[in-house]
Amino acid sequence: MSENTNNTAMMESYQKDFMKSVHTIGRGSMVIAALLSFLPIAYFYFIKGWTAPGYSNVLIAIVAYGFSMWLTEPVSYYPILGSAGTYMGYLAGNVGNMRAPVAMAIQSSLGEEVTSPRGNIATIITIAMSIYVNLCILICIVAAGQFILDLMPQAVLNAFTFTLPSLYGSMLVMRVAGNPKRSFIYLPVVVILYFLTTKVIHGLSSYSLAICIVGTIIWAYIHFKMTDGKNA
Amino acid sequence: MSAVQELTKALWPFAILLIGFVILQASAFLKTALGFNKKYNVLTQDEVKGAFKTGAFSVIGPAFSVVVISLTLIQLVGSAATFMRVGVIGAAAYELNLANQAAEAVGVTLGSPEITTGILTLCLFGMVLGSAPYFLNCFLTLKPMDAAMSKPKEAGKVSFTPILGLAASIGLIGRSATAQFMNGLPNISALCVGGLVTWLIMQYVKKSGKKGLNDWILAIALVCGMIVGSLVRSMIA
Repeated sequence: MSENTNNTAMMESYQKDFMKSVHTIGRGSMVIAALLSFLPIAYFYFIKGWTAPGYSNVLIAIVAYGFSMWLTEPVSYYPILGSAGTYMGYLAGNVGNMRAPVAMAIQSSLGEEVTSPRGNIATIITIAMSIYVNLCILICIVAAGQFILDLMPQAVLNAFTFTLPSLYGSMLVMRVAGNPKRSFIYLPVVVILYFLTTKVIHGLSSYSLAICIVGTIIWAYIHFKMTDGKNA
Repeated sequence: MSAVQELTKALWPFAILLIGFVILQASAFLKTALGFNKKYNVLTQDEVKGAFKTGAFSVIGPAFSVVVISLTLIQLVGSAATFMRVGVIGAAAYELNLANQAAEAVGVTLGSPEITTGILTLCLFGMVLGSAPYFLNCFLTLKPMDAAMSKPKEAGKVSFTPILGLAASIGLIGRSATAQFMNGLPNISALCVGGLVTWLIMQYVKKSGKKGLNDWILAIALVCGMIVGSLVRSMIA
């Protein structure tokens, strides 16, 4: 009884206070980050007079290039990172190759999803830590990048090209092992959607990531409804 | 003084300010999470330590993998711009592409002698513009999505919410893994070894109960995958 009461109080505090703080920090930081990002450009352009023609060309080119990603990526990563993780991920960057892997690693280790308070708290700690370490490495690169590169044998530098396939192999197994039955039902749909969006209908290639994620969620929902949530 | 050097000198204070803000935001979230955990003990101290270790160790491999491309970016737009852009929102390859697009829009190649501080400012504008709309998206969409996710389920009904994360992860990784499968035998080998090593460590952790090893899985799998990928590439070369 006492444990149930504590649990109810915790969930209430989680939804009302904790998540409110998350969005206050997150939304506030998004506004400040946008202002800070454009600040040097405004300073260089208007104060220093470092002007150049072609701002409208660049605007059109970048909007055409990035529009689909801006629209779909954060929403696609949200079910993995949670809202706090997505706010942090899209400020610190490297969402796909750093934040999502560490989030999945800790969720797999705890056997929790980011939708639970345990999963969300652990994901926030892990992502924050990954940002600190990543920035330390970046500082080293900026300060002594060429020196570090000179120290590394060419074979080691070449091996970095295999970071991503190794990463995806590891992440896939972690996820599948957590719920093999459902994972093997979802995987063929992902493969089909990938080929459809990249090899068959080329116009959809820039939406491929979102289509694969959202398509899998829709298929998972259909399957969930068909089995009436019996295996949930 | 070259244009890149001039821009770098002027940009450093802004870069430090922005990176400082990244650290501040992460620290604010971390403080909130640890404060909640202290009050309700949703995670044990060992689990909190595990979360710290996973974040620290698992990111080292991917962080170093962008060294080469970051150095390319340093040579083209300077160290301050690289620090500011790769440390905030950008992945190095994405930022390089944006800077190139901006330069090409005015008919100049990055790294060429025709580059001026004005064109570099334009490149910086391209890089910032390429990622700023993500801020707007996050600002607008995350709160309503959380509200939708936290709606109480009807009594007696099983919630789809716990399955949502699994489906999204399988969609994300399944797509990325399929793409790697199309990149030749060395990549397929690295992918399979990364997965196999992960599975073996997970089995070992289950049997031995040494849960601390979970924090290292990603890092160990990365190193093994990188070694085998390189070996296969040199064998078929």
